[in-house]
Amino acid sequence: MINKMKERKVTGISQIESGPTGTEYEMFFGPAHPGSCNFSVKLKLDGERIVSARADPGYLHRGFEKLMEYRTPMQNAVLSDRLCILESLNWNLVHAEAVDELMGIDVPERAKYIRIIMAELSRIQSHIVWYGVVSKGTGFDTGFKMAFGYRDYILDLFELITGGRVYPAGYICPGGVRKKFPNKAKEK
Amino acid sequence: MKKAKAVEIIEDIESKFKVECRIQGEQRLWVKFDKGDLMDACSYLHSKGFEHLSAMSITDWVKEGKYEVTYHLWSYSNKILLTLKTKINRKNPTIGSVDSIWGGNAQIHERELHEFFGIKFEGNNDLSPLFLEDWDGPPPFRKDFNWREYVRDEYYDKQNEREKGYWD
Repeated sequence: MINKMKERKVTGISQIESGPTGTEYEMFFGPAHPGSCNFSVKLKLDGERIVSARADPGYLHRGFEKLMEYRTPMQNAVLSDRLCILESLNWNLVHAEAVDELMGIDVPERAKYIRIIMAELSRIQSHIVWYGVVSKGTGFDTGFKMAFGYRDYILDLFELITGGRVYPAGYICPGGVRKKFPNKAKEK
Repeated sequence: MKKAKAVEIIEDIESKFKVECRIQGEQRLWVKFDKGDLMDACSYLHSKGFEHLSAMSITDWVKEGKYEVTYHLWSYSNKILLTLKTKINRKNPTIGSVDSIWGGNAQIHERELHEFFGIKFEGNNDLSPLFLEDWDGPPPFRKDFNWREYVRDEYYDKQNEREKGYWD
Protein backbone atom coordinates (compact mmCIF):
# COMPACT_ATOMS: atom_id res chain seq x y z
CA MET A 1 0.00 0.00 0.00
CA ILE A 2 2.73 2.43 1.00
CA ASN A 3 4.84 1.43 -1.98
CA LYS A 4 1.93 2.10 -4.28
CA MET A 5 1.48 5.55 -2.76
CA LYS A 6 5.12 6.26 -3.37
CA GLU A 7 4.88 5.42 -7.05
CA ARG A 8 2.21 8.01 -7.67
CA LYS A 9 3.81 11.22 -8.87
CA VAL A 10 2.52 14.69 -8.20
CA THR A 11 1.81 16.48 -11.42
CA GLY A 12 3.85 19.56 -12.11
CA ILE A 13 2.31 22.88 -13.11
CA SER A 14 3.89 22.82 -16.56
CA GLN A 15 1.95 19.74 -17.51
CA ILE A 16 -1.39 21.28 -16.71
CA GLU A 17 -0.78 24.72 -18.00
CA SER A 18 0.18 23.50 -21.42
CA GLY A 19 -3.54 23.87 -22.12
CA PRO A 20 -6.27 21.60 -23.37
CA THR A 21 -5.57 19.56 -26.48
CA GLY A 22 -7.93 17.43 -28.49
CA THR A 23 -10.65 15.99 -26.30
CA GLU A 24 -9.17 17.29 -23.03
CA TYR A 25 -10.48 20.30 -21.21
CA GLU A 26 -9.85 22.15 -17.98
CA MET A 27 -12.32 22.58 -15.16
CA PHE A 28 -12.28 24.29 -11.78
CA PHE A 29 -13.62 22.33 -8.83
CA GLY A 30 -14.12 24.86 -6.07
CA PRO A 31 -13.48 27.13 -4.23
CA ALA A 32 -17.20 27.96 -4.11
CA HIS A 33 -18.41 24.40 -4.67
CA PRO A 34 -20.20 23.14 -1.52
CA GLY A 35 -18.30 19.86 -1.53
CA SER A 36 -14.86 21.36 -1.94
CA CYS A 37 -14.62 23.12 1.45
CA ASN A 38 -12.95 26.34 0.23
CA PHE A 39 -10.39 24.26 -1.56
CA SER A 40 -9.88 24.71 -5.25
CA VAL A 41 -8.72 21.96 -7.58
CA LYS A 42 -7.87 22.67 -11.16
CA LEU A 43 -8.76 19.54 -13.09
CA LYS A 44 -7.82 18.48 -16.55
CA LEU A 45 -10.36 16.06 -17.91
CA ASP A 46 -10.58 13.75 -20.86
CA GLY A 47 -14.28 13.11 -21.12
CA GLU A 48 -15.11 12.13 -17.56
CA ARG A 49 -11.68 10.81 -16.73
CA ILE A 50 -9.35 12.99 -14.68
CA VAL A 51 -6.03 13.33 -16.45
CA SER A 52 -4.39 15.56 -13.89
CA ALA A 53 -5.30 17.66 -10.89
CA ARG A 54 -3.65 20.68 -9.34
CA ALA A 55 -4.60 21.89 -5.88
CA ASP A 56 -4.90 25.50 -4.83
CA PRO A 57 -5.40 25.46 -1.05
CA GLY A 58 -4.85 29.18 -0.47
CA TYR A 59 -8.48 30.20 -0.10
CA LEU A 60 -8.70 29.32 3.57
CA HIS A 61 -5.14 29.93 4.69
CA ARG A 62 -5.46 32.52 7.42
CA GLY A 63 -1.89 32.56 8.66
CA PHE A 64 -2.49 31.53 12.28
CA GLU A 65 1.22 31.01 12.81
CA LYS A 66 1.87 34.66 12.13
CA LEU A 67 -1.11 35.89 14.11
CA MET A 68 -0.02 33.89 17.15
CA GLU A 69 3.44 35.45 17.10
CA TYR A 70 1.93 38.76 18.16
CA ARG A 71 -0.20 37.43 21.02
CA THR A 72 0.10 36.02 24.51
CA PRO A 73 -0.73 32.35 25.23
CA MET A 74 -4.07 33.29 26.81
CA GLN A 75 -5.06 35.26 23.71
CA ASN A 76 -3.88 32.40 21.54
CA ALA A 77 -6.22 30.04 23.40
CA VAL A 78 -9.11 31.96 21.88
CA LEU A 79 -7.43 31.95 18.51
CA SER A 80 -6.64 28.24 18.59
CA ASP A 81 -10.26 27.12 18.44
CA ARG A 82 -10.73 28.99 15.20
CA LEU A 83 -8.40 26.52 13.52
CA CYS A 84 -11.17 24.07 12.83
CA ILE A 85 -14.94 24.35 13.03
CA LEU A 86 -15.61 20.75 13.97
CA GLU A 87 -12.96 20.00 16.59
CA SER A 88 -12.44 23.42 18.11
CA LEU A 89 -12.18 22.09 21.67
CA ASN A 90 -9.59 19.55 20.66
CA TRP A 91 -7.46 22.29 19.16
CA ASN A 92 -7.86 24.19 22.41
CA LEU A 93 -6.64 21.14 24.27
CA VAL A 94 -3.60 20.66 22.06
CA HIS A 95 -2.59 24.29 22.39
CA ALA A 96 -3.13 24.35 26.14
CA GLU A 97 -1.14 21.15 26.68
CA ALA A 98 1.75 22.46 24.60
CA VAL A 99 1.90 25.68 26.62
CA ASP A 100 1.57 23.76 29.91
CA GLU A 101 4.47 21.56 28.98
CA LEU A 102 6.66 24.46 27.86
CA MET A 103 6.01 26.50 30.98
CA GLY A 104 5.94 23.56 33.37
CA ILE A 105 2.44 24.27 34.64
CA ASP A 106 0.81 21.64 36.84
CA VAL A 107 -2.84 21.30 35.83
CA PRO A 108 -5.35 20.47 38.61
CA GLU A 109 -6.94 17.03 38.56
CA ARG A 110 -10.45 18.42 38.19
CA ALA A 111 -9.47 20.55 35.18
CA LYS A 112 -7.96 17.46 33.55
CA TYR A 113 -11.26 15.61 33.87
CA ILE A 114 -13.20 18.56 32.47
CA ARG A 115 -10.79 18.81 29.57
CA ILE A 116 -11.22 15.16 28.69
CA ILE A 117 -15.01 15.31 28.91
CA MET A 118 -15.14 18.34 26.64
CA ALA A 119 -12.67 16.92 24.15
CA GLU A 120 -14.62 13.66 23.95
CA LEU A 121 -17.91 15.47 23.42
CA SER A 122 -16.26 17.51 20.70
CA ARG A 123 -14.98 14.36 19.06
CA ILE A 124 -18.39 12.72 19.17
CA GLN A 125 -20.12 15.67 17.54
CA SER A 126 -17.41 15.79 14.91
CA HIS A 127 -18.09 12.14 14.05
CA ILE A 128 -21.81 12.85 13.85
CA VAL A 129 -21.09 15.61 11.35
CA TRP A 130 -19.00 13.16 9.36
CA TYR A 131 -21.97 10.81 9.24
CA GLY A 132 -24.26 13.64 8.16
CA VAL A 133 -21.99 14.82 5.39
CA VAL A 134 -21.49 11.32 4.05
CA SER A 135 -25.27 10.81 4.04
CA LYS A 136 -25.69 14.05 2.16
CA GLY A 137 -23.02 13.07 -0.31
CA THR A 138 -24.68 9.77 -1.05
CA GLY A 139 -28.10 11.35 -1.47
CA PHE A 140 -29.56 10.27 1.88
CA ASP A 141 -30.86 13.64 3.02
CA THR A 142 -32.84 12.30 5.99
CA GLY A 143 -29.63 11.02 7.52
CA PHE A 144 -28.07 14.43 7.11
CA LYS A 145 -30.92 16.14 8.95
CA MET A 146 -30.97 13.52 11.70
CA ALA A 147 -27.23 13.76 12.27
CA PHE A 148 -27.28 17.52 12.53
CA GLY A 149 -30.30 17.31 14.80
CA TYR A 150 -28.45 15.01 17.22
CA ARG A 151 -25.35 17.18 17.01
CA ASP A 152 -27.42 20.09 18.25
CA TYR A 153 -27.90 18.41 21.65
CA ILE A 154 -24.15 18.48 22.14
CA LEU A 155 -23.90 22.03 20.84
CA ASP A 156 -26.53 23.06 23.40
CA LEU A 157 -24.32 21.63 26.10
CA PHE A 158 -21.34 23.54 24.75
CA GLU A 159 -23.35 26.72 24.78
CA LEU A 160 -24.31 26.17 28.39
CA ILE A 161 -20.81 25.34 29.53
CA THR A 162 -18.55 27.53 27.41
CA GLY A 163 -20.84 30.22 26.06
CA GLY A 164 -20.19 29.37 22.44
CA ARG A 165 -21.88 26.71 20.34
CA VAL A 166 -19.19 26.09 17.76
CA TYR A 167 -16.28 28.17 19.03
CA PRO A 168 -15.83 27.77 22.80
CA ALA A 169 -13.79 31.00 23.06
CA GLY A 170 -10.71 29.39 24.52
CA TYR A 171 -12.54 27.31 27.13
CA ILE A 172 -9.59 24.97 27.57
CA CYS A 173 -6.79 27.39 28.25
CA PRO A 174 -3.23 27.05 29.56
CA GLY A 175 -3.35 26.11 33.23
CA GLY A 176 -6.76 24.44 33.17
CA VAL A 177 -10.16 25.57 31.99
CA ARG A 178 -11.93 28.93 32.11
CA LYS A 179 -14.92 27.99 34.27
CA LYS A 180 -16.30 25.02 36.17
CA PHE A 181 -19.38 23.21 34.89
CA PRO A 182 -22.57 25.11 35.67
CA ASN A 183 -25.14 23.24 37.79
CA LYS A 184 -27.56 23.10 34.90
CA ALA A 185 -25.14 21.01 32.87
CA LYS A 186 -25.83 18.04 35.17
CA GLU A 187 -29.54 18.16 34.38
CA LYS A 188 -28.88 18.26 30.64
CA MET B 1 9.90 -3.97 24.83
CA LYS B 2 9.18 -0.89 22.75
CA LYS B 3 11.51 1.21 24.86
CA ALA B 4 14.28 -1.10 23.85
CA LYS B 5 13.40 -0.55 20.22
CA ALA B 6 13.68 3.24 20.59
CA VAL B 7 17.06 2.91 22.30
CA GLU B 8 18.18 0.52 19.59
CA ILE B 9 17.28 2.99 16.85
CA ILE B 10 19.04 5.86 18.60
CA GLU B 11 22.19 3.81 19.13
CA ASP B 12 22.08 2.78 15.50
CA ILE B 13 21.88 6.39 14.32
CA GLU B 14 24.56 7.56 16.74
CA SER B 15 27.00 5.00 15.46
CA LYS B 16 26.51 6.10 11.84
CA PHE B 17 26.18 9.88 12.01
CA LYS B 18 27.32 12.78 14.12
CA VAL B 19 24.08 13.52 15.92
CA GLU B 20 22.59 14.73 19.17
CA CYS B 21 19.73 12.55 20.41
CA ARG B 22 17.07 12.70 23.05
CA ILE B 23 14.54 10.07 24.05
CA GLN B 24 11.39 11.65 25.40
CA GLY B 25 9.21 8.60 25.57
CA GLU B 26 8.98 5.13 24.15
CA GLN B 27 7.34 6.46 21.00
CA ARG B 28 9.00 9.86 20.76
CA LEU B 29 12.55 10.58 19.66
CA TRP B 30 14.43 13.77 18.86
CA VAL B 31 17.50 13.89 16.67
CA LYS B 32 19.65 16.89 15.79
CA PHE B 33 22.12 16.52 12.96
CA ASP B 34 24.36 18.45 10.57
CA LYS B 35 23.09 19.86 7.32
CA GLY B 36 25.69 17.90 5.37
CA ASP B 37 24.33 14.55 6.57
CA LEU B 38 20.78 15.32 5.47
CA MET B 39 20.42 13.05 2.46
CA ASP B 40 22.34 10.16 4.00
CA ALA B 41 20.49 10.35 7.30
CA CYS B 42 17.09 10.63 5.64
CA SER B 43 17.58 7.76 3.25
CA TYR B 44 19.01 5.66 6.07
CA LEU B 45 16.01 6.36 8.31
CA HIS B 46 13.66 5.70 5.43
CA SER B 47 15.20 2.29 4.91
CA LYS B 48 14.87 1.67 8.67
CA GLY B 49 11.07 1.93 8.51
CA PHE B 50 10.38 5.64 8.79
CA GLU B 51 8.24 5.61 5.70
CA HIS B 52 5.94 8.48 6.46
CA LEU B 53 7.01 12.12 6.47
CA SER B 54 4.09 13.51 8.41
CA ALA B 55 5.15 17.15 8.51
CA MET B 56 7.91 19.61 7.86
CA SER B 57 8.28 22.90 9.64
CA ILE B 58 10.64 25.81 10.17
CA THR B 59 11.62 27.63 13.33
CA ASP B 60 13.01 31.08 12.74
CA TRP B 61 15.81 31.97 15.20
CA VAL B 62 16.24 35.62 14.28
CA LYS B 63 18.85 36.56 16.89
CA GLU B 64 20.97 33.54 16.12
CA GLY B 65 20.64 34.09 12.36
CA LYS B 66 19.49 30.52 11.71
CA TYR B 67 16.53 28.61 10.41
CA GLU B 68 15.78 25.29 12.00
CA VAL B 69 14.28 22.82 9.54
CA THR B 70 12.28 20.07 11.21
CA TYR B 71 11.17 16.76 9.74
CA HIS B 72 8.59 14.69 11.59
CA LEU B 73 8.90 11.04 10.65
CA TRP B 74 6.56 8.23 11.56
CA SER B 75 7.36 4.58 11.49
CA TYR B 76 4.40 2.30 10.82
CA SER B 77 6.24 -0.84 11.84
CA ASN B 78 7.70 0.43 15.15
CA LYS B 79 5.05 3.07 15.97
CA ILE B 80 7.67 5.70 16.70
CA LEU B 81 7.57 9.41 15.96
CA LEU B 82 11.02 10.77 15.24
CA THR B 83 11.82 14.44 14.85
CA LEU B 84 14.84 15.36 12.79
CA LYS B 85 16.24 18.84 13.19
CA THR B 86 18.94 20.74 11.44
CA LYS B 87 20.01 24.37 11.42
CA ILE B 88 20.80 26.30 8.29
CA ASN B 89 22.07 29.78 7.63
CA ARG B 90 19.41 32.44 7.55
CA LYS B 91 21.05 34.68 4.96
CA ASN B 92 21.43 32.08 2.28
CA PRO B 93 18.95 29.35 3.19
CA THR B 94 19.55 26.35 0.98
CA ILE B 95 19.07 22.71 1.84
CA GLY B 96 18.76 19.52 -0.14
CA SER B 97 15.33 18.30 -1.11
CA VAL B 98 14.01 15.04 0.32
CA ASP B 99 11.67 14.82 -2.65
CA SER B 100 13.54 11.79 -3.97
CA ILE B 101 13.07 9.91 -0.68
CA TRP B 102 9.50 10.64 0.36
CA GLY B 103 8.08 11.73 -3.02
CA GLY B 104 5.10 14.02 -3.45
CA ASN B 105 4.53 14.10 0.27
CA ALA B 106 7.78 15.96 0.83
CA GLN B 107 7.38 18.00 -2.30
CA ILE B 108 4.25 19.82 -1.17
CA HIS B 109 5.72 20.62 2.26
CA GLU B 110 8.84 22.01 0.65
CA ARG B 111 6.73 24.13 -1.66
CA GLU B 112 4.96 25.65 1.32
CA LEU B 113 8.17 26.37 3.21
CA HIS B 114 9.78 27.84 0.11
CA GLU B 115 6.86 30.19 -0.24
CA PHE B 116 6.59 31.28 3.39
CA PHE B 117 10.27 31.38 4.38
CA GLY B 118 12.10 31.68 1.07
CA ILE B 119 14.14 28.53 1.59
CA LYS B 120 15.64 26.96 -1.51
CA PHE B 121 15.28 23.20 -1.71
CA GLU B 122 17.88 21.97 -4.14
CA GLY B 123 16.53 19.17 -6.28
CA ASN B 124 12.85 19.98 -5.92
CA ASN B 125 11.58 20.60 -9.42
CA ASP B 126 8.36 22.40 -8.52
CA LEU B 127 8.56 25.29 -6.08
CA SER B 128 5.77 27.34 -7.60
CA PRO B 129 3.47 29.40 -5.33
CA LEU B 130 1.03 27.30 -3.35
CA PHE B 131 -1.06 29.53 -1.08
CA LEU B 132 -0.27 33.06 -2.14
CA GLU B 133 -1.46 34.78 -5.25
CA ASP B 134 0.29 37.72 -6.95
CA TRP B 135 2.66 38.11 -4.04
CA ASP B 136 5.80 40.16 -4.62
CA GLY B 137 6.70 41.08 -1.01
CA PRO B 138 9.23 39.28 1.18
CA PRO B 139 8.43 35.76 2.43
CA PRO B 140 5.60 36.49 4.86
CA PHE B 141 6.28 34.07 7.73
CA ARG B 142 9.75 35.32 8.58
CA LYS B 143 9.94 36.72 12.07
CA ASP B 144 11.32 40.04 10.86
CA PHE B 145 8.47 40.56 8.42
CA ASN B 146 6.10 43.09 9.94
CA TRP B 147 2.77 42.52 8.29
CA ARG B 148 1.14 45.55 9.90
CA GLU B 149 3.68 47.83 8.26
CA TYR B 150 3.49 45.98 4.99
CA VAL B 151 -0.30 46.21 4.81
CA ARG B 152 -0.21 49.90 5.71
CA ASP B 153 2.33 50.75 3.03
CA GLU B 154 0.80 48.55 0.40
CA TYR B 155 -2.90 49.13 0.78
CA TYR B 156 -3.43 52.52 2.46
CA ASP B 157 -2.91 55.98 1.07
CA LYS B 158 -1.17 58.57 3.24
CA GLN B 159 -2.74 61.47 1.35
CA ASN B 160 -6.23 60.10 1.77
CA GLU B 161 -8.28 61.88 4.45
CA ARG B 162 -9.78 58.66 5.86
CA GLU B 163 -6.73 56.43 5.68
CA LYS B 164 -3.95 58.68 6.93
CA GLY B 165 -4.79 57.72 10.52
CA TYR B 166 -2.88 54.48 10.02
CA TRP B 167 0.40 56.43 10.08
CA ASP B 168 -0.22 58.21 13.40
